[in-house]
Amino acid sequence: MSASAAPLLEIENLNKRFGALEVLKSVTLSIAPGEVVAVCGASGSGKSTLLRCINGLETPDGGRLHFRGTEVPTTKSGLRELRCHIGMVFQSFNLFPHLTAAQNVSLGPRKVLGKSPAEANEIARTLLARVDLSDKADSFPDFLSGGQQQRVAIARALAMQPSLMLFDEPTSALDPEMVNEVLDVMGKLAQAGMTMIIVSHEMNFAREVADRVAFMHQGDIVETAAPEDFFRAPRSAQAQRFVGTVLRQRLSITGE
Amino acid sequence: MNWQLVFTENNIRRLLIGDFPDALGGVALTLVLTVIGIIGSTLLGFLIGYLRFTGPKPLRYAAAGYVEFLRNIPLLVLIFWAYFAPPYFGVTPSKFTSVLVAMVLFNAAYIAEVVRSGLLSVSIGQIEAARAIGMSGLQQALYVMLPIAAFNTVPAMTSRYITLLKNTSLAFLIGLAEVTEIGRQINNRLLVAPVEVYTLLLAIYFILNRSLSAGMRLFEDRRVFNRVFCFFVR
Repeated sequence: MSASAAPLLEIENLNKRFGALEVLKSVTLSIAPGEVVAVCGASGSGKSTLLRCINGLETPDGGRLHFRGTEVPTTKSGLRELRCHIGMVFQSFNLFPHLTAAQNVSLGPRKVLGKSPAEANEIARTLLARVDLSDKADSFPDFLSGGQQQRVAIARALAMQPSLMLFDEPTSALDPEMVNEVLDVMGKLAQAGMTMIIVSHEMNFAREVADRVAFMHQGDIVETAAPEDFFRAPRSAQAQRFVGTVLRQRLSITGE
Repeated sequence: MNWQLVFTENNIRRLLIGDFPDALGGVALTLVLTVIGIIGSTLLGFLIGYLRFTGPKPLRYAAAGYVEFLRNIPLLVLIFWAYFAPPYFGVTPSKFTSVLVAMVLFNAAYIAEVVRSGLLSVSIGQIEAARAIGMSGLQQALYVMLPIAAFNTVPAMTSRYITLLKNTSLAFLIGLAEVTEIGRQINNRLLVAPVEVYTLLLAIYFILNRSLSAGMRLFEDRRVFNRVFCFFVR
């Protein structure tokens, strides 16, 4: 990331409460074009809520969001327009079960972007090829594995030609043997220059692919750092505890 | 048994098409009532079910009121009402129109509830996915929520459609010449073969309904459902 480039997304003092619970206290984060930021932290630290505030699936209670230099609108049509530029991938895939893989991908271009059937179909075929699912274009989600479904979901988000992609624990619902096929697709996307914010428990992936790690604790970003620095020498006490726990788990799993 | 009295060419022709070309009746009229009744009550039912599920508040209450009123009155009384009441307002509907209007209004109330149960089966995640690619509320409804709801409720709809077809027989009470009325006329003329006539009617209804449910069964296959109802994405 270069310091001189205007940020693609600027989050300033973002606040979100659910009733008495303050899920986001005062989150400030700036994302440069092409940057890949991994958001880490324990469950309940506010990671998913942060992502969902960025594309307006949750309405923040305070603070400001700037996307491509302009303040994020709060009107319905403004939010719809914003969501065309920000893709989102969910933990539970959320494919449309009544549509084939190709139709899942082409629905947005067709209905939201107003592309012709031929154009939308072409977009779908191209993107499914990109996530290595050309042979599944006419399959229904029910007949796809979790890893395949999540790759279709990534293609569906990309079909809107977003300039920012949000990943909300994209591999958490997958069987272990399918995690890598999804991470591979995400890795290639990062290499191709996509700006990405990834909430994930895949620490190895964060280490390899992210330009920066943002560590959240109880509704605040406590620390941001380059992945190498963060995992080798976290500065805050909370991050030290978190990294320690994650590494210990990995050691106990691999039996080292 | 007096089957030969029942199975005359004239009786069979009347059971199938009534006094066509003068007046369509019999099985043909039953089918016309059923098809138009299904299409009309399904469209109205989807609208009311959707409004009750997620309409603006006044419309939601109106939809709920509609459902509660229509499903708590007997169809038979509604048919009489639809036949005898409109003249008081200066409209004189045909028997056919009265029956059809009553059936559509009545069945729409039940179908609205089936649709609502289907909408409850759409996961929040699927709706959020539609929002996340920038869809408007109407687009979410038309392209995501209602098709998912429709697919999930095919079996319940089948039951409703079967009931609708059977209920077309109530039309005989205002003298509409659908198949039950034709059967009744034949029986009144023969007088000596009621068991044969009504056994034949039972067989006719069974065959019609069995065909209907077999046809509906096809839509329980995602590929068939997609090909017929997801034309919007093709």
